[in-house]
Amino acid sequence: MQGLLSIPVLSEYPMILSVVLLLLGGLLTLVAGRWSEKASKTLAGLSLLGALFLNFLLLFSPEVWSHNEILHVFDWIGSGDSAIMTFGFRGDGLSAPVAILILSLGLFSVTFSYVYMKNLTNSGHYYALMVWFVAAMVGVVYATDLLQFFLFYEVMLIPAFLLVYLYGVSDDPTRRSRNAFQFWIWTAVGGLISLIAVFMLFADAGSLDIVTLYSSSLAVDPMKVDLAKTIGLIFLLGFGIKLGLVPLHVWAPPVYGEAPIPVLVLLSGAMTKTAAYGVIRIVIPIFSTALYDYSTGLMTISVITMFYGAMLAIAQKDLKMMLAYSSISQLGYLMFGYSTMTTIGLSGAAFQLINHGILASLMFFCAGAIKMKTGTMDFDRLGGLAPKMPVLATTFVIGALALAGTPPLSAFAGEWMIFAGAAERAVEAGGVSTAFLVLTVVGVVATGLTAGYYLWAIRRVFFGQVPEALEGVSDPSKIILSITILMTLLVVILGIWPWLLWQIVNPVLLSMMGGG
Amino acid sequence: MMLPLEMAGWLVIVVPAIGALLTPVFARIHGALRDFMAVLVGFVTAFIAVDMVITLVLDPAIVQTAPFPDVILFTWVVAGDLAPIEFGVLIDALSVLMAMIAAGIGSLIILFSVGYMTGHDEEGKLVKDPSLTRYYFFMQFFVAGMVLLVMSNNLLQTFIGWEIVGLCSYALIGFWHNVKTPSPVPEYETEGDYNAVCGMKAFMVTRVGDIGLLAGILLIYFMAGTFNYTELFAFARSLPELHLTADFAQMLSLLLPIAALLILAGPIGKSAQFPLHTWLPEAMAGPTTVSALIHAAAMVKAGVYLVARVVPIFIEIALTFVSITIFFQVVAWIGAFTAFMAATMALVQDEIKKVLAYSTISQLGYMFVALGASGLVAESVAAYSAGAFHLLAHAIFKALLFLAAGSVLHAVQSKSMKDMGGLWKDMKITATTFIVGALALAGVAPTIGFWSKEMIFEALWHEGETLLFMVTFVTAILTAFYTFRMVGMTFFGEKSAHIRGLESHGHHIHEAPITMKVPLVILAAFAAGGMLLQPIFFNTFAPFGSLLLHPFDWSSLPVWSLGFTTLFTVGVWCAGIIPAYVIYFKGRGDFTGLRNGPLGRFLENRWYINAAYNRIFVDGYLWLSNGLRTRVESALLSFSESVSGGMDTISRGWRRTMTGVLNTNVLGMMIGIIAFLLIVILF
Repeated sequence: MQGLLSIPVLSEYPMILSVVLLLLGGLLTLVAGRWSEKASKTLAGLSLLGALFLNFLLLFSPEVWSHNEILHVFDWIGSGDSAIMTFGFRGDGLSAPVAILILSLGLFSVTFSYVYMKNLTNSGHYYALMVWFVAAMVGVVYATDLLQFFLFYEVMLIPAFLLVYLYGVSDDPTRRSRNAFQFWIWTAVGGLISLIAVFMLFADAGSLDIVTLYSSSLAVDPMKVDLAKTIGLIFLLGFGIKLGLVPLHVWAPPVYGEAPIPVLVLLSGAMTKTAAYGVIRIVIPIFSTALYDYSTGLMTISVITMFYGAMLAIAQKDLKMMLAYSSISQLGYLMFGYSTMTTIGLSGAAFQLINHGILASLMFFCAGAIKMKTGTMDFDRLGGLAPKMPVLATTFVIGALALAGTPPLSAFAGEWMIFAGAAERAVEAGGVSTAFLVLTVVGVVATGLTAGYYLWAIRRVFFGQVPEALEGVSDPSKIILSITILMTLLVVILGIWPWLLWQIVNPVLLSMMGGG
Repeated sequence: MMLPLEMAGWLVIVVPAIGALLTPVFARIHGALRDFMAVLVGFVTAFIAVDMVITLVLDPAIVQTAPFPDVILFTWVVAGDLAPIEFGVLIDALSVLMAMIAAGIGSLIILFSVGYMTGHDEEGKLVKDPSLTRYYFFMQFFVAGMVLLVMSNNLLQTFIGWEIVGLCSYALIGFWHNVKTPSPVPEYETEGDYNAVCGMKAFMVTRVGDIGLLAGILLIYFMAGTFNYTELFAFARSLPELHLTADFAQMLSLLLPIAALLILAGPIGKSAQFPLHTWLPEAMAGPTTVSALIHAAAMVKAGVYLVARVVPIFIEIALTFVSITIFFQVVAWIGAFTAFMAATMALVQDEIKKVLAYSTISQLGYMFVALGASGLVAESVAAYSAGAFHLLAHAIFKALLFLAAGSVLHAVQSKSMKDMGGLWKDMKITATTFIVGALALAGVAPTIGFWSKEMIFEALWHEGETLLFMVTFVTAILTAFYTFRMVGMTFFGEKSAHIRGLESHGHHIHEAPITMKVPLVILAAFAAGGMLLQPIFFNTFAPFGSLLLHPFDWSSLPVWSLGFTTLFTVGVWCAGIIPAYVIYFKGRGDFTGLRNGPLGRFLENRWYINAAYNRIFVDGYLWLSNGLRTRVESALLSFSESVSGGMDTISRGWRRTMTGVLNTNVLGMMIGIIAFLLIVILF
C-alpha cells in the first residue's frame, strides 16, 4: 500500500529530524530572544510547525500507513553485535499520532502564548523552554530502549520545572519555588521508581529493547510470574505518580494552580500522556498476563481517582482548579481502561489518551481566554458570558459535553470501549464476576458526575445574567478562536467517525498485545 | 413509494442534519431565509418519512418477511480484536412509524414556530426572538437525532441518537437562559436563570438512566456478541438450539435479567417514568413548541421505542431463560404506578403546561403497561400493538394540545390557568382544536385516544391482568377529570382579572396567525379521525408484530371492536368528565378546603419526591464533595508539602556540610570509604 504523501529524506528520517529540529530550534529561539521578541516567537512556532509537518509525513509514509514501522537504531553502549544499550527511534501507528498530539499541543500553546504571555522579561527563555519541553516529550514517544525512554522522561522535567518556577502565577517567589519544587520531587521520584523496575527488568531479561522484552521470558514464562508481578507493579507505581492517580496526585493541584495556561496545557495535556504512553508501550504488553489478577484492585484505584477528581472538581470555586481536578478525574478513565487488561479496554484507553490530550487542552485554553477577557476565573464573579462571547461559549460547551462522554463527540468513542473492557471481564465465561459487574456500572456513573460539574460550570460561567463588571466582554482574539475551533472540529470529527484515526492505531495495539 | 427504502432510510437522517448545519449559514444571508429553510427541511424530512410509511403500507410483504432491510452504511470503529462495529439503518414497521412521528409532527411544529417565536413589541411592531438561529439549529438537529435513534440498526448507534436528543433537549429547555426580565418578545414570559437550571436538571436526571443503559448495552454486547438488533434477535431465537455449557447457561440466566433491567433504566429516564420522572415538569420552562416536539411527541417516546425494540428480543429469550420475565413485570408495574401517580399530580396543577406535562408522564406509563404486558400474556401481539398504537395516538393529540396551549399562552401572555378563563369566544379555532385534543386524551369515542386506550384495556382485561387493568382504569377516570378541569379553567367560566387587565390596556385577545392555525387543524383532524388510521396501522403493524412475537391470528382481534371494556370507557365519562364540567365549567362547589388540606399539599408538592431527591442527591452530594475538599484533600496536600518541604530542609542541611574546611571533608571521606568497605565485605 502506498503512503499518502512522501518526500525523499524527510519521509525516511522524520523522527530523528524532528527531535534535532526541535533541539536546534529551541537553541536558536534562545539566542534570537536576546535581540528580538518577535524573532524568538517566530522561531519557536516555526520549529514546532516543522516538527509537526515531519510527523505528518511519518503518519502518511508508506510504512506507517500500511501498519508497519520506521525504525532507526544506533548502538550506544556495547559492541556492534551485542549492544547493551541502544538509542533508537520508532515511528509506528501509535507513536506517530501521540507525537502529533504533543507537537500540536506545543504549537497551540506557543501560539496561545503570543497573546497570553505578555510582559515577558526575556521571551527567548520562555519560548526555548517550551520547545525543549516538547522535544523531550517527543523523544519519550519515539524511544526504542527503556533507558532512553527514561532519559527523556526525566530530562523533560527540567524545562517543565523552570517554566513553572519562572513563569508561575503567584507573585511570591517562595511560593512559586515551593510549588515547582514539590512538582519536581514527586515526578522525579516517580521516574526513579520506574527506573528501579527498569533495572530489575534488565537484570532478568538482559535486554533493554522494548520490543524484545515483549517476548522475553518474563512476559511469557509462567514460572516467572511472581517476579513479573513485582516489576509490573513497581512500574505502575512510578507511572501512577505522573498520571496522578489518587492518592498519588498530591503534586498536581499546586502545580496546576501555579502554572500559566500555556504551560498548564503542556503539563496536563501532554506531559501526563507520556506516562500513559509508557503504560501502553511498556507495562501492558510485557506484564498484562502477570497483572491480569490485579485488575479489580487497579480498577478500584482508577474508580477512586475518577470519583475523587469529580467530587473535588464540583467543590472548586475557581474554573482553573475545577479543570485541574477534572483532568485528574479523567486520567482515572485511562487507568481504568488499562486495568481491564482486555484489548478493547486498552483500545479505549489509548483512544482516550489522545482525546483527553485534546479536550483538557481545549478547556484550559478556553479558561485562559476567559481569564484574559474578564481578568478572573472565579465562578462567583463570572456569569452570562454566552451572548457576550458566543464562539468561545460554543467551543467550551462542546468540549465540556465531550468530556462528559456525550456522543457523538470524541470522548464517547473512547469511553464506551473503556467500559466495554470492564463489561467483557464481567461476562467472562464460567460465572458472573460481581466485582467487575459493579465496576462497570460504577465506572459509567463517573461520566454522570462529570456531566454534573461541567454543566454547573457552564451555567455559572455562560448562563444567567452578566455581572456589571463584565458588560464589555467580547470574544477573544482570532488566534485563540482559531485554536479552539480547530480543536473542537477535531473533537466532533473523531466522535462521528473514530475509525478515521483508529484504523492506524488499532493494528499496532493488536500486534503489541499479540506479542505479550 | 417514490424513493427506494434503502435510500430513504438514510436520507431521512441526513437531510435534517444538513439542514441544522446550514442554519447559521442561511442566517447570515437573511433571517427570513433561515426560517423558510427550516420549514422546508422539516417538510422534506417529513415527506421522506411518510413516503417510507406509504411504501410499507402498500407493500406489506416487505414487513412480513424477515430479515427486514438492514442497510450497513459504514464501519464506525473496530475495537481491539472484536468484530467491527457497523452503523446502518434498519427499516421495519416500528422504526418507520417512529420516524414518521418525529419528522411529521416535527415539520408541523417547526411551521408553528414561525408564528410562535415572533411577537409584537409595545409599539405593535413584529419582533423576532434574537436567538432564533440557535433555536432552528437545535430543532432540526433534534429531528436528525431522533430519526437516527429510531432508524438505527444497532444499540450503540441508538445510544448516540439518544444522547443527541438529550443534548438538544438540554439546549432548548434552557433556550431563554440569560434574562431575568421577560424576553424582548412579550408574548411569552421567561424565567432566565431558572431555565438554565431546568435544562441542567433534565440532562442530569436522564443521564442517571443513561448510565444504566450504557452498562446494560455493553453487557448484552459481550453476551450476544453484537449490538445489531437483527443479530440480537437471531441470537435470542437460536438460544434453545445452542448447546450451552451449564456454567455459561447459569451465567446467562443470571446476567441477562440484570442487563435487561440496566437497559430499562434508560427508557425510565428518557420517558420520565418513576423514579426518574422529576425532570419533565421543569422541562416546561422551554418554549412551548419545544415542549410539544421534544417533551410530548418525540423525545420522551424514545424510551417507549427502545422498550418496544427490545421486548420481542426478550420475549424470545424468555423461552429459554425464564428469569428475564422480571423485566416485563418491572416495565408493566412501573408504567402502571407512574400513570396513576402522575395523574394525581396533574389534578392540582395551575399552569396549563404543567398539567400537560404530568399527563404526558401518565400516558407514557400506559405505553409501558401495554409493552410490559406483552411479555406477560399469551396474546403478546395484542398488547404490543396496543402500546405502539397508543404511542402514535399520544404523539398526535399531545402535540396538538401543546400547540393549542402555546397559542393560548401567546395570546394571554401567561402560563397560569388562573390568568385565563372565558377564552372560547375570542379564540374559537384554538379552543375547538384544544377540545378535540382533550377528548382524545380523556379517551372519548370516536377520537384516536379512545381506540388506543380501548385496545390497552382490552388486552389487559382479556388476558387476566386484572390488577394492572384496575390501576390503569382508575387513572383513566382521573385523566378525564383533570383534562376537562383544564379545558374549563382555560376556555370557559369567567374571564380572569389578568385578561380583563390586558383588555383594559387595549390588548385584544386574538386568534393565532395562519402559520400556527394550519398545524393545529391538521393535528386535530388526525386526532378526530384516528379511527381511520387504525386499520391501516393494523395492516402493517400486526403482521410485523406476529413476525417478531409468537405467531398470532390477528383476525381474532377485530378492528374497531366495541368490546366489553367499552362499557367501562363510557363509565369514564360519567365519573371524570361530568364532575369536571359541573365544577369548572359551571363553577359549582367550593373545594378550597380540600385543595389546601394535607392531600392537596401532598399532591402539589409532587408527593415530596422531588424535594427528597434534591436534598439527597444535590445537597448531599455537594456537602460530601465540600467535606472531601476541606478535610481529605487539604490534609493530603499539606502532607505532600511537608514532605517536599522536608526534602528542602535536608538539602539545605546538606549544603551546610559543604564547608570548604579540609578537616571535615577528610572526615567525610573517611566515613564514606569505611561505609563502602563495610558494604562490600558484609554482602
